[in-house]
Amino acid sequence: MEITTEINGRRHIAPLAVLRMAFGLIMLISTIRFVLKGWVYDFYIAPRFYFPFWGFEWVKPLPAMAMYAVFACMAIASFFIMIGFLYRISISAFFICFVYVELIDKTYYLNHYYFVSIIAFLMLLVPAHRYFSVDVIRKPSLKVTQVPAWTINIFKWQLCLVYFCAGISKLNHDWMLEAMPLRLWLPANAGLPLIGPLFKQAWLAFLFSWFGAVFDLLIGFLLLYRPTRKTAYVFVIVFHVFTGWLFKIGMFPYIMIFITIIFFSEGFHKALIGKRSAEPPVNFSYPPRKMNVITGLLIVYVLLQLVLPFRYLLYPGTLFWTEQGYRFSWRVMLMEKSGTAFFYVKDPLTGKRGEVNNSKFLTPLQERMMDTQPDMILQYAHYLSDVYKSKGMKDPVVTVQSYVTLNGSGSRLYIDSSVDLSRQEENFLPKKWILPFHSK
Amino acid sequence: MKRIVLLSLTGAAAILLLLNFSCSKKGTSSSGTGSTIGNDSILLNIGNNIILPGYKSLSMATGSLDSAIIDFSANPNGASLSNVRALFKSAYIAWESVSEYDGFGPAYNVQPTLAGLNLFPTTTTRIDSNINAGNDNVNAFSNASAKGFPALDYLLFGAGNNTLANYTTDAQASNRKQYLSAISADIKTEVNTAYAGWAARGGNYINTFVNGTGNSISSSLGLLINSMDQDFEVLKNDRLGIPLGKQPPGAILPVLPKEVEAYYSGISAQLALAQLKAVQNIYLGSGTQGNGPGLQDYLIEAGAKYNGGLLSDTVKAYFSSAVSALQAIPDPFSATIQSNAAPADALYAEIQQLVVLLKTDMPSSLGVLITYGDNDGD
Repeated sequence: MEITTEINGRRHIAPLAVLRMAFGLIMLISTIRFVLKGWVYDFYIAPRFYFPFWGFEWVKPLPAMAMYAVFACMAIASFFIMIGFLYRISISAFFICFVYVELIDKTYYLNHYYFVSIIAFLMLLVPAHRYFSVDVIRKPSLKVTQVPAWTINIFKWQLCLVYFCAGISKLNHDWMLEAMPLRLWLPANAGLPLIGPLFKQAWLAFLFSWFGAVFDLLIGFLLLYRPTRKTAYVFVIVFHVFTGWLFKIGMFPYIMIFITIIFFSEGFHKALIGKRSAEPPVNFSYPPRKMNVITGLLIVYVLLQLVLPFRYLLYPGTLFWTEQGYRFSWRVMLMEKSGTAFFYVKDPLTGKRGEVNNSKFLTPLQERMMDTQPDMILQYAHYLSDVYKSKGMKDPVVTVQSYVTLNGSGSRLYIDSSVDLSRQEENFLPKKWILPFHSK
Repeated sequence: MKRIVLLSLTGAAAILLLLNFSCSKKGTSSSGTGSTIGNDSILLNIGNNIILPGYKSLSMATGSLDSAIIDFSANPNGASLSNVRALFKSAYIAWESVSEYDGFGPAYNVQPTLAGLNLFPTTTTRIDSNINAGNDNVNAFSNASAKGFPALDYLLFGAGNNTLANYTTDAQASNRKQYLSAISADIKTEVNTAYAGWAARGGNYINTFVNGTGNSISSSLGLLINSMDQDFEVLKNDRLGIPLGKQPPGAILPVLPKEVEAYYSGISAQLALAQLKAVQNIYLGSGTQGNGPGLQDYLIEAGAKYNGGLLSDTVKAYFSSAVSALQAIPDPFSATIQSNAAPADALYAEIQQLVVLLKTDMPSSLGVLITYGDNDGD
């Protein structure tokens, strides 16, 4: 198998059409669930303040009705993606709405939302609607049967990368040698009938930790390799259903189960949509100029995907503690971290200092996420500085007395409580005001 | 597709079986003794030995208070007033032993929620205008801070030595008696509703509670810790923080004595102590039937560490130190903090440390999420 045939060779389009339907369906369910849980209000309407991503401070939530409209648009677009109707418009609309919502507040950042954003971006580039779709019925000239191999393989590559990076990130002292944080999380299930008592056994936490690491490291390759593929997919289902059942991780297991279908052969996908008879082959190729743009985009995307998970190496200190370079790196369910932060605002004129009641400014979820993430602590400190400036205080001094516990370490001081955070700027340099972890 | 589904089901069954059979092997963990997350001996003790008796004594106390207020209204004199005042204090103190459960169960799933009985400081102008207008609809939305214990505090102690006159010779005496009775009756009804909701013979939430094992946000442990911690932050922020001028309201930070709980009766420190001890009891498992398993037993079982020692011991030590510090602060708290705020400031710092331990270390060791909302993780 040469690399060029895996990129430019001809492949049947069926896997792409199935992926499109699977993605549309799971996103439709996911969006409806999100709205029904009342999260549009809780996350994007109720808060007074939002934690934007660096460089995206200009992204703001819309008024309440418009926020609901965005989610309605996402749901409709998901449905259209599933049935392959007005595909270019629906996938673009979905991508824009989804990324917009994710960019509003990093409080709700989840690896699988990031994953969905990437899959939507890739779906934007491929002709997933040119087979087994309403678009083809409407306009039969759209129909093609053969597509460049990369349009399918790019998704496999992305999935392998997610699993492999997740596996690498598990190869650390706490996960492998202490069975942390599973040792803290598993006993929660000790009340289950029959198997309950097992969950407080340390060996089970070790078994799960090691199995999880091996699974993540190998599963991508086992899915690629034809003889092991079916067994591997069974493992994917069992693993994700099991973790979904043990932990509160929402749609993530189902998204992974749905998207990994792409690994199956074109024969499988053809059978799945009932296309067994031979069809006259119709080739799809991108117009050269468009292909140049796509090639450029893909090179940037691949490089970013390879670099982002390892950018943490550029920062000093314990990654889990400082979280510098933590997001966008496929670090999933790796740590039990919790904190409490008391913020102080001091008027430099009078020297008087007051402790802020965080619940007056943040939702409980925002506060909990902020408590353990230095960049959010800094954003909140700047916000407090603005609030008290607007109340007439000149140059408020904002400090924080913050305690964090990581993987059962016991809480300890997290941020240098003498530093005036209102004068610290957010950038990609190491944050010197994060105190070192001092592992035992 | 059928084969895949079949294969995966077989796989899941095989894993479950495997797990089950290896059960006979002796584990290497430090666990093995009785209590664990999911075992209800702790929930049983907290439910039957602490929570239910707490609601029972509050129910009895508010019942006696209401009878005394009926007597007082019929026959207002010095003796009946001091009887009412004494019963008010004991009912308020009893309240502090159940406010920890305001965030879930029967106290939370009703309208109006039980927590509404203690929104302080009360809006005295609102109470006065209600009395002048003869409006005793205490559960109107606009009367949210003109009802409950803080309103009684004002009505029974607000006028000092003139209180009796307010109920006898004052032009509004009759309206005032009516408002006092309405507030007391409302307290009694709301408390009885919550108590009945918990009681085995009533709504039997106690059964739901002791069987709600696990540590998810909807488990009894998750609900209890979140509710208790939220209440504990009221101790830090509202009972102590605001009066001590800890919170910056704009550019100035005065001590705000009138913001204390029970300003007029002057029992703020006693009430704070009752709350602190109630939380300590949940932690230690101490109740009417003596000591049983409490939250500390989860921490002991988990072997949670803190600063080289055991977390369970650390929390225990912080509790007793905070209790001693609070016992040393005399009532009326509002006067104490004006003459010498230093002991109260020191207490505040201790309570802050306890907040960290109860909100960060304890839940983290037990895998309980501290959030009063809901979200996915990954």
